[in-house]
Amino acid sequence: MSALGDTLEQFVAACNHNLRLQEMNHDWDRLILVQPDDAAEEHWIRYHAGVAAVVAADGEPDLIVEGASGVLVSIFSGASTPTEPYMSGDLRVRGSQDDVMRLDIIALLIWGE
Amino acid sequence: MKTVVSVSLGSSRRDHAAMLTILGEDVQLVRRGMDGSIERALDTIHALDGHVDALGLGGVDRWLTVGPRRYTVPTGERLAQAATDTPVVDGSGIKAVWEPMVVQRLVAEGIVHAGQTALMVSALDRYPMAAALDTAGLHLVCGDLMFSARIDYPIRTLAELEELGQRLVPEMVKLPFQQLYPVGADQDAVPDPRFLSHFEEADVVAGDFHFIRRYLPGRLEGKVVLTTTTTTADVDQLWSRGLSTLATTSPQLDGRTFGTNVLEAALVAASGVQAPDSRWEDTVRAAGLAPFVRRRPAREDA
Repeated sequence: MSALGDTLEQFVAACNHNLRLQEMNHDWDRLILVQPDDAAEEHWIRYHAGVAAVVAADGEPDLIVEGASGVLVSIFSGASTPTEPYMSGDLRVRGSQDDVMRLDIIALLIWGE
Repeated sequence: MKTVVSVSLGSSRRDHAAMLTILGEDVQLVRRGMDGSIERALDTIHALDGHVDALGLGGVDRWLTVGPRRYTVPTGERLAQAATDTPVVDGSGIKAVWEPMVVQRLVAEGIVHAGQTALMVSALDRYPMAAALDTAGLHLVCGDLMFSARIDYPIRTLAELEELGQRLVPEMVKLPFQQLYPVGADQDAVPDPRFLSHFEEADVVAGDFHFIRRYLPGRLEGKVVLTTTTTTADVDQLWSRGLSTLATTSPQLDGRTFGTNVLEAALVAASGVQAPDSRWEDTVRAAGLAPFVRRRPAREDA
């Protein structure tokens, strides 16, 4: 598995380990496509009933997260926060504004301060 | 006579002017809405700098103080720095000193009491009010994640509010302010019925009126709303939904209550003292401020 794939597996495990996130996302049912723009790979995450899972391609995504592999690994591993790369355009997230903000909050709550 | 202008990122439809006598000074209060445009706000502050006695920032905070920590909001800081001669205030001095006193008065007058549930629509921008309600023995429900991010997660303790603030605020304040707070036309939008259960659970609904208005439920019987920045139309809307008691932390002038930034600007203009000067609390106390409290008009009971 690629470094990004490994990182997303860890990200999903961290989401599911966090009871507060499970409660916050109890009503959030979304399909997320994570797509590096410098590698021929794509990854899908489904959030359902407060639980996240890495899944196979499964229809139209609600959120598309794009950027260089290194940027995506850095954000989903918690090495950097998503806000600045998002504001600078290094991280592109397509979806509703509320969903984009929620993903941002999830990352901040998992990886902390 | 002193003149203060509140430069607000909010809707220009709420613009108005009024006179207030405070600390023996007549102060003209003017509110100018920028309809969400930061560039217009910067230009306006530049143009007014040195020509008025104090400026207020509306629709945006310069600082968020959550427990022992203070976070700078880049948009508010940029606007404040646009003036070099005239003091610029964001209402945080009023929120820190005066609003907790208002809660204490409401408790003393039996308008709110221990054991009630208080929904603070946004507590990160009004931590001292939230802390005062908590100290008074009300059960806090802080709606920051609900009303700013549409995440149905009530924050029920000050400790969790502080912890979430520590994790989220330093990053969230980097986002465009309009993603977190209704500005411009959003201030006139039709209320959103989400989060109705949290309003129903509450005896007291407190905090920023734009958040309250944006999610205002159809019925408010038996409830107290503690807020500021209301117009005559806003108040009519609250009575028509059966509200029992309206309390605002700023005085009512010509049917409107001003934002905390306007009140703070008026105090700074009249006294020359600005928070965090050690004389600020005494200045607020000396001003003889009083909250505006009104029970439901009798005609609404008919």
